This record gives sequence, structure tokens and C-alpha cells, in this order.
Amino acid sequence: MITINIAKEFSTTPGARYKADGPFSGEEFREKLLEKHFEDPNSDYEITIVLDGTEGYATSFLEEAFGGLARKYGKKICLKRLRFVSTEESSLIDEITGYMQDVEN
Amino acid sequence: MWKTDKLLVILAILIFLLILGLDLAVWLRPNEVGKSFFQFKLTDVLQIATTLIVGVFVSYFLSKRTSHEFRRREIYSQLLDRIQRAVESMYAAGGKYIDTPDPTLQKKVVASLKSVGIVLTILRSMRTTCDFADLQKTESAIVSRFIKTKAALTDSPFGQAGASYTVSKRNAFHQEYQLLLNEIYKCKIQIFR
Repeated sequence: MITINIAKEFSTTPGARYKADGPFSGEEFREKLLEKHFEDPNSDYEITIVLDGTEGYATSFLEEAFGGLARKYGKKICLKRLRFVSTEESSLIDEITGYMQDVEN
Repeated sequence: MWKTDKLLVILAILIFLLILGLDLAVWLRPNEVGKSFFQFKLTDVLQIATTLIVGVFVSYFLSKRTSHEFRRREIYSQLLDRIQRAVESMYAAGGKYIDTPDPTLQKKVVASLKSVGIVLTILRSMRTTCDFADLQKTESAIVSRFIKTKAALTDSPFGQAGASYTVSKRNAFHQEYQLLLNEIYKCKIQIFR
């Protein structure tokens, strides 16, 4: 099991959707910190994402990071392996799970 | 001091009610009407005293419980007021950003969304302590409507250089905000039902 703390390992000010939109985008986060854990199809360890400590998240960031990951590797595997922690904003967990579930694959 | 005064008043009322009850008990028996004012049977004294004490305790317990329940609902209502204020300031920041998108306003929008998210988390944590009305259902409706309002505002083109919101995107944001407010008001009304 590994833990990714967004505020500590990525940024306290996550940006928008694409890298072209500016720094710390959802696309950048997905490519830098998430995708490496999904490249090996045999990996099944749990990944805990700590969402606390940032200034907040735009929908575009969350959808591109997690919805994008589900589009690329399949929502079933993503929902199974990702765990979210947020004591500050518990609605973020519903939001992200919703984006992954909305993916058609 | 105030508490002692209150107790004395309650005690005086109890004694008054006891004497009144005993006299009524005497006067209701025609063969005992001639007796003097303070001539009571011991059984009458016990019966009326017990009735009064039980009555006072029951009403005290009920009023305490009712005021406690009302206070809980009031606290919940205050929390909903906070959510409403946070949502209104998010709407104001969002409206400004849609009209003139810039990085400073973008940060303000994200911060205002986080403020709403934080108070919603508090609302959620009250689920276990507040079992009145159908709060779990209304609270879920508020959260889900908030996520939709947030998406209408901060999904693309949010954060894009030179972002411009189409008329339908603007309308969607205003509509979602209105629906979110509706849910908050529904919840407020439900608390005092």
C-alpha cells in the first residue's frame, strides 16, 4: 500500500485540467504521480490519496486526474485500488468517485 | 441565587396547589362540608401530594426534553445559515470569474468552494447526532447539488487562458446555484416540521 499526499508531493494549489492551462494541472498530476502505479496490470496494491492541505480543487483538476485515469486504465481497477482520505472536505470523495463511475468502460 | 428563588417559587406553588386540592377533596364530599378549612384526611394528603409531585416531574422532564430538542434544531439551522452564506459568497466569486476570468479570481473561486466543502463536512458529521426529520436524505441532496454547482463553474473552461463561458454554461451555473439554494431552504423548513 502506498500513500500520495497531494499537498506534500504535488502542490498546495492544484490547477485546472490540462498542462496547457497552467502549472499543477490534473493531467500533470495523473502523469507524474498516478499512472506509474497502474502501468503494470498485475499490480494490485492499494493507493491512498490524501486530499487535505491544499487550497481547494477545481472540478476540471479532479475529473482529469481521476476520471482520466479511469478512462485510461478502466474504472473497475481504479475504483478498486484507489482510496481517498479527506477530513477537511468529505464531499470531495463523493465527487471523485462519481467522476470515475461516470466513465464508460 | 436565581435558581434558589425559582425553587422557592415552585415549592410555594406546590404547597398552594396541595392545600387547594385538599380543600376541593373535602368540599366535594357533602357530609364533610361543615369541617374547618384545614381539617384533612391523611389519605387525601398523600393522594394529592403524590399526584402533584408526579405531575411536576413529568412536566419538568417533558419541558427539558422539548427545549433540548429545539436547541439541537436551532444549532442545525445555524449551520445551514453558514452553508448558505458560504454558497452565496461562492456564487459571487464565481459570477465575477465568469465575467472576467483571471488567475486571482480563479484562486478566490477555489478557496470559496473549499469553504463550502468544509461546512458541508461539519453538516455530515452531525448525521449521527441529529436524528430528526429526514436529514440524511436532505443533506445528501445538498451535497450532490453542490457538486453539480461546482462542476458548472469549475469544469473546463475554468482555468484556461482566455477562458470564456458560453451563454448556456453561464445559465447552467446560475440554475445549479438556484437549485442548491432550494435544497438548503428545503432542509431548513424540514428541521422545524
